[in-house]
Amino acid sequence: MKTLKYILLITLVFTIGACEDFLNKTPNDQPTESTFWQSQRDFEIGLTAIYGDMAGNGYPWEEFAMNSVLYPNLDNLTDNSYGQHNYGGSQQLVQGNITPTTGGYINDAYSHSYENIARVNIFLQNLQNFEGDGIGEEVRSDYEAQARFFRAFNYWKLYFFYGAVPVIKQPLTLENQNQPKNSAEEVFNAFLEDVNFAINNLEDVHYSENGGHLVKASAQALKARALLYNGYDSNGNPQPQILEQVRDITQSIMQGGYSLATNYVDVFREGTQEGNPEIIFSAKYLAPDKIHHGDQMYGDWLVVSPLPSFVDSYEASDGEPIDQSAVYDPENPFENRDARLTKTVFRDGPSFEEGGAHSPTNDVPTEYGLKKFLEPGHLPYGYATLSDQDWVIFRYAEIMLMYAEAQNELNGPNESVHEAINPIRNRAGLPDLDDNLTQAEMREKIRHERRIELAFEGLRYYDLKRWRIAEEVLNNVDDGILSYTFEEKHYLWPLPQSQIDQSNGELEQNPDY
Amino acid sequence: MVLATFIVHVGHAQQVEGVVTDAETGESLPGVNVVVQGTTSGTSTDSEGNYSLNVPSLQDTLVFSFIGYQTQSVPIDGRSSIDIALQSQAISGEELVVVGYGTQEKANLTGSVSSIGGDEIAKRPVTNTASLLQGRAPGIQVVQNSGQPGAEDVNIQIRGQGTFSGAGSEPLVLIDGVPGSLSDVAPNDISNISVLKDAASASIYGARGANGVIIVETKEGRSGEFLVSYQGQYAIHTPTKSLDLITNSAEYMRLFNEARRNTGITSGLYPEEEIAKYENGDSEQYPSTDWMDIMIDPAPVHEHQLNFSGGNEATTYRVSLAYTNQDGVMRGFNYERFNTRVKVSSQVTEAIEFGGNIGLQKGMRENPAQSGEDTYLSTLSQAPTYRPTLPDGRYTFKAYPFEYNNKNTVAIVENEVFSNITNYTVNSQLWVNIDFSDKLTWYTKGAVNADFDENKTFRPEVQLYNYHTGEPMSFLDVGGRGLTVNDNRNIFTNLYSYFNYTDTYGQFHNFHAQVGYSQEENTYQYLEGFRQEYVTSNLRVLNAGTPSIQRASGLEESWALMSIFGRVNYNYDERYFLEANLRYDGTSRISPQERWGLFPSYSVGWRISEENFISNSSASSWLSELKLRASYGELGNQNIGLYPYQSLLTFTGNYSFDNSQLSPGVAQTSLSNRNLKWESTTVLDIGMDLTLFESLDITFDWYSKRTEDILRSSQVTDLVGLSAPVVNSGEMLNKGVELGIQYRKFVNGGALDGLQYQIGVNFDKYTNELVTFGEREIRSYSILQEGEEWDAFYMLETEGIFQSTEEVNNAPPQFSDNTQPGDLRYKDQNGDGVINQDDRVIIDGRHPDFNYSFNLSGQWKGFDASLFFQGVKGQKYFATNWGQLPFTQGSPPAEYWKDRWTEENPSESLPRIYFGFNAPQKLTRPSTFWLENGSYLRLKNVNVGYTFGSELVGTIGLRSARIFFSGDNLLTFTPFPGLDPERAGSGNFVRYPQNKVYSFGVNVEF
Repeated sequence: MKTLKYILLITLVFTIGACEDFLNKTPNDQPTESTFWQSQRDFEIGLTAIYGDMAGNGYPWEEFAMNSVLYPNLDNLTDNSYGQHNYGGSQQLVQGNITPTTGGYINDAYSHSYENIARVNIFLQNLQNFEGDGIGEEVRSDYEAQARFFRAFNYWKLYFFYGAVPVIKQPLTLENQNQPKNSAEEVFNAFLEDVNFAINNLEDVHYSENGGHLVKASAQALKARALLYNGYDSNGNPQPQILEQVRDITQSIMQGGYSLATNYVDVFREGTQEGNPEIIFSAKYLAPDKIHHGDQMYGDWLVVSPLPSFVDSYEASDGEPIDQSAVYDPENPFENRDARLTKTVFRDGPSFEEGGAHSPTNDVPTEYGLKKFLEPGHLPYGYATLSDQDWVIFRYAEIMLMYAEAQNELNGPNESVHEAINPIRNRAGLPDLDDNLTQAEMREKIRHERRIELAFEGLRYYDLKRWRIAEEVLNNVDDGILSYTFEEKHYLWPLPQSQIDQSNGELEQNPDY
Repeated sequence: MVLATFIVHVGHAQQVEGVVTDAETGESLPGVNVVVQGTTSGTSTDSEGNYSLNVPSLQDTLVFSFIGYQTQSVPIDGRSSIDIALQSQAISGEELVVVGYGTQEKANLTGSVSSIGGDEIAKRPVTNTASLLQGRAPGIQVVQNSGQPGAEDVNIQIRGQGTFSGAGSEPLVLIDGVPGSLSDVAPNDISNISVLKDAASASIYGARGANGVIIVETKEGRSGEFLVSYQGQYAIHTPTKSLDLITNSAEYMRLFNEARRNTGITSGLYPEEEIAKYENGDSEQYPSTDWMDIMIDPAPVHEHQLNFSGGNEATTYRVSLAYTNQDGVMRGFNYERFNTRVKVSSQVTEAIEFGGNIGLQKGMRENPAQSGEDTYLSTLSQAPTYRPTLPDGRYTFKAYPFEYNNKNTVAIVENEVFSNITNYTVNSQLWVNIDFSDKLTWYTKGAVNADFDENKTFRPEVQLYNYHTGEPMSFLDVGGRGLTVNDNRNIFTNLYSYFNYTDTYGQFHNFHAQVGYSQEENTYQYLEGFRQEYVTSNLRVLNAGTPSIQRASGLEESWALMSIFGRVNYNYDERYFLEANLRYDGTSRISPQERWGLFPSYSVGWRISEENFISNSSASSWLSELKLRASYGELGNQNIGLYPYQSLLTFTGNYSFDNSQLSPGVAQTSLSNRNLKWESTTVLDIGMDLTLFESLDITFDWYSKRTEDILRSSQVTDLVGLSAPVVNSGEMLNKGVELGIQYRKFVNGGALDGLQYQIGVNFDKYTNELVTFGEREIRSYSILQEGEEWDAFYMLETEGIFQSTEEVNNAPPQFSDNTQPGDLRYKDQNGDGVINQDDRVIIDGRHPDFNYSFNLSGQWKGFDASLFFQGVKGQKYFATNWGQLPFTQGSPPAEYWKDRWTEENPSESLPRIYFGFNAPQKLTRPSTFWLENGSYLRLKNVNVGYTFGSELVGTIGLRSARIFFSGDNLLTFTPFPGLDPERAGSGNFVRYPQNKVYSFGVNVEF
């Protein structure tokens, strides 16, 4: 009897324990695909994640090419600076060891671009399939335009780095994951299709008035930058039909109410970015929960080390190169210079006119560091620094310089060219350019101005490539710690070997690799 | 109070005496415990094996017990003289081995099971239980990665790396039949460990047996005696090795300048006049600091264990308490642990027995917030040119602004920038066994394991100063600021039940069957809070921080498993054996359509030595046991992610559009795969057990372990833009042999009369092959490629150092390097006249050639001693950075860099020196120059003890007492230049150091 009691008891335990749902477990912290994309709010959240993907945390081991905060690291591929940490494989790339298995940027520019494209494609597909009420036509096309801006941005990046790549406009699955390459022209056309849709459908207001969302001018700026890349042929000769488009787009932006900020640093500092008349698009951050590590990376780790030759290329305050200037003092090389020098570069460690200084924990291999994007309010720089200055992606100064460049190539250094470039120089405490410059002289002045004004905004590599002067410039760098090598074939990178390997023969390697 | 209840009064005493001998050898046995059953009164035999005992009545029963022998109970039956021969436990045919859901006689085993006695493993003075398995049985590869107290990071593999799935290759660990962790059991509580290696033995755990199963049985009380025993030991830990570094400041500074110049860095050099100051100046202001010496000290460790055990015929119990306090050899590390374990069982009626088992553990670990390895390499990164503190006690940053270092670890320790991890573990079990008849029994066990972890990390703000000028320079790099508190809860429940049926038909047909059900469920939660700003660093709770910057996060996840299992054994006359096991498992991790998997195994055995042609022949005089066995079966693996088949979206990509409010983002970030099924491993095992002359045991196994449908991330092209789904794909094959040899000898007569000694050798060797993988994947210094071993080393091969410009010019150009004399010369493997990535080749050494261990032990007249050696052959490590690459974050180069290549000293083996992370690719590119041989043979343990019999210590009320010395890792033979060759793979050259242990202790029985 006693035994029976036990048996009953054990049986009871099992009856309680075993129920049908025992093996059905679902996560409590993740929405499932079947319950999302059901309302306008869901699409807002989905769109936010597309913006958020562009605003990474700035740790180079976590994300490379897509990340705004890491644009300065791209200058480590150029005569502007040296990257001691070799983030993105910058040291191999600079030395010309560019192969399909180099890794770093060669892999990441590819994978990050497609990652963002996939996010856009999934968003667009769900938006298209959405049949519920509550999303009006206008909202729908605005959402689509914002999403397609990002897709355009990424196709342009792929076009810039690799040329011909597959164009993907639908979400892919394991079954159809291998797609053949499209020609470079088709890639660029895919870019144009998206960017034109964005231009036609984004709000036509000043960026500072649109709550941080993309505006028409943002898309126009992207289109101008991309077109300008095609503005020279493979011998460096200007292509007037394209440059005309660049001139017209930039002109259109110049009528949109943008202007230069009073101070150069205002564009990059936290308190002066909101409502800034110069910013056309930026990646936004908000402490303490949406931060990046830009101050730590550049101010404490010295991820970017400007080269001495780059520092020397800043004009003296009289507008002359330092070796020809009467006011330049070799004993005090940072005095009587283009005012942007001390805003862009620090020696030994960052220090600020308004007070505050920092002693970097990492090596200072070239004696110089990158100061341009540092926020004095965030001192001291370290892991605890909650950096949330926005990272500017398009700004008015670049538009003016693009205009000046296109116009000079098309019509020579006319008054409008001077009017576009002089305010930028004046803001840096430099005199106007000589009225009598030839077209060729003006070309050099504009190129120099771009190098200085847009330093470390990730545009130097782009400039060297599109002007076709990368071989000439880079192979002559002699203070770079590394020995520079740039060959003709490096104008386009190879596709990552892992992608060729996994493509079942669908993907062809770029020529020369 | 509790003790009082066990005291039994002795009535009219009568005396019994006798002699105890070894049944095999006839030798007398000293030190045998003799107890009157159900009482505490007892004695031990003297050095001649004689005993004499007062008993309450001549109707009582005597219990004879001795380590290594089977306990015997003998009714006195009115006799006054009783001589007893004890059987050694190791005798074949009667030894019981713990297997899945039960025990089997060793002689009847048809699977591959290694059994390790608790006494053997408790010899080592090591606080981590998992480490103790090292070298104790063939086929078990144990690597302790670190000597950090409480964080030894022990990696156990049975028969090599079986799979490359994210599930890993860790075996399933069962504590008294319930899944758990080895770290939850104190070494002295272990009575026995069984390792199930092949499919036949492990497949009763189907879904999780693929990587082998380790079954730990804890000690239980024995009826008849109340025993109190105490073991205490005090140990000193020192690092097994320290690096020989250039810590003379002037030498360091000159070499620093040379390395920077070679690298092309012309700024930030030590001026010659500053170097001169270090050569001639005052050593307080211009020191040559050996930072390692400051941070590393011998560490004391003490351990105490107290056990109470006993019982009567119906009920037995054992209660143990243990305490360990271990300081690290580096400052700032400590681990403190309390264990209690209570095990009770009782025969309530003739048919019903029940028991309970509760283990409690509290572990408290303290270490610098950024872990052991980081503390070591940060210490290493300091230049000798400054001390940790200025003369006035402020903390130093650097002596010169251009110096380069990681965090000042003395400041870390003294400001208590620590993580404090407190872990509470409760393992509780209740079981009942019902005998319906002699043939049919029903066993049921329910268990709850609860783990609670609290992790507090505090990061204060500490100002650092220039050593020379005293000016503030920077803040201590503590990886953030503020307090993070993390609370983890894991609750695991398990309920299982099975029927056993045993029967014999006719004279020879023995039959046993078992069928059961099991269910498991696990829920894990964590909650984390953070506040950044603290007014004082003394108040380290969240509420003491200001709420201006604070964060919270939390998670909850669960999984479940439901199973039916069974086993059938049949043998004919204990000569021919057949066994089949079956398990049918359902898991929550796989979709309802695919979640159930069936895992069968079959095995056969033939005891040749029981055949008449042997047992009736002269061979039986030397052939004590010969058994051949073979098994084949299938095992599973389901341990990948918790919800891999469900299409989920992720909260990611928050964005603040208006710089005032953060908007949430949601995106799909991975593909899912609803068609997932089980990963399966099939193992074929052929083995032999041989015993010669009753004293030489040889066990040999050959196996082939093939894992298919591996649960792994699919190879997905970047075009998809999402992380890969988990798929079933890929195949891995491990083939190997294992050999275990044990020899026991008892010396009869002569000068060494009474000497008993054992010699043991374990050897295992396996080869790993990645049979199917997909497209090759190249990692930075390794490759995943079909037909090769998993993650094989893949790099350039170096062939010496360029000695002249002429040699450079005549050699194939190396990449686009600016190659100079003194640089590494790479081999042109494909003969195409250029050195590039295509010249990388596969280099052997990712997996060891073989593992081996041997031990010698002996007892003689109260003395005992054992030596235990363990080694690995043919393992290589790709180890770099701090301690290897000169000036990594400023770290002083090793002494041998004095012999580097220079024009004056054209070294053939060491290249020119370059500067740390700025060193050019021509040096740092993965090549065999950085690949080191990690083979080693080490004297893992020496143990020497002396046991005082009761004739000596009885007068002070003790049954017996033993004093001992135990030394761990005392000798190491290795070509590995790094800290310790015992490490879990490649990576940084330095780790938290391993420990050399000198331990003294005492073992007392009351």
